[in-house]
Amino acid sequence: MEGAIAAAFVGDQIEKHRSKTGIGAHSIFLGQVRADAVDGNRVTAIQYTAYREMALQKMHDIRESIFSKFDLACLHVYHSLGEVPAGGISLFVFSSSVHRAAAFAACEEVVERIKNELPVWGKEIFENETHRWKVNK
Amino acid sequence: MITIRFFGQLTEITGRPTLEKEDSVDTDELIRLLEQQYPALKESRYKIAVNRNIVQSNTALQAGAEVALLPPFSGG
Repeated sequence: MEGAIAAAFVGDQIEKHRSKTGIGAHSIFLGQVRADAVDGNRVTAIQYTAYREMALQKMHDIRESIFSKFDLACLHVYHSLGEVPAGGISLFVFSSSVHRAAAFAACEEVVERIKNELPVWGKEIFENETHRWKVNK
Repeated sequence: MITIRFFGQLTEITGRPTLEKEDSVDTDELIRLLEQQYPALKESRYKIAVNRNIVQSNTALQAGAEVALLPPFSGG
């Protein structure tokens, strides 16, 4: 989705699961843009770009493998594209299951796989208008 | 024709997101041609995808193939 993921959007997604009463546990991961400082120069935003066609295909593969590995009721993933200011949410992973273990484990694995396998790039924009390409740790 | 797509920091080397080239036999030959055109690619780390699948070794290219050069991912 374009730009930062709003808190209200996250809230709406939770609300949408009210009717799914077989679910007993949700696990939510929110990735937030840090205002890292390099030589006193702060990151003001990250600009995200992606190889969209490949990212969608890869996300589909990740979903398939997560659903075959964990007993999940549902899984929702949103990643920002374009500019997200420091403090904004750029990744939202939401897994749901009958009991908590599957939701926790699936959520963590999805986040790790997104970081390692999705063709998405973050360009950190500094307050002096220089930039640096983000490196995932 | 083969379409080549560049992403992330590689677009700063090429100055463009896409390039079309006459058919190349395989990815090794195509990379050789691209490195002649953009010598800074030799010092860059990237993976190669052919038709949206990452390839680990030299891969034959059919006409109409889409080859992408992918620097280390940094989503999330």
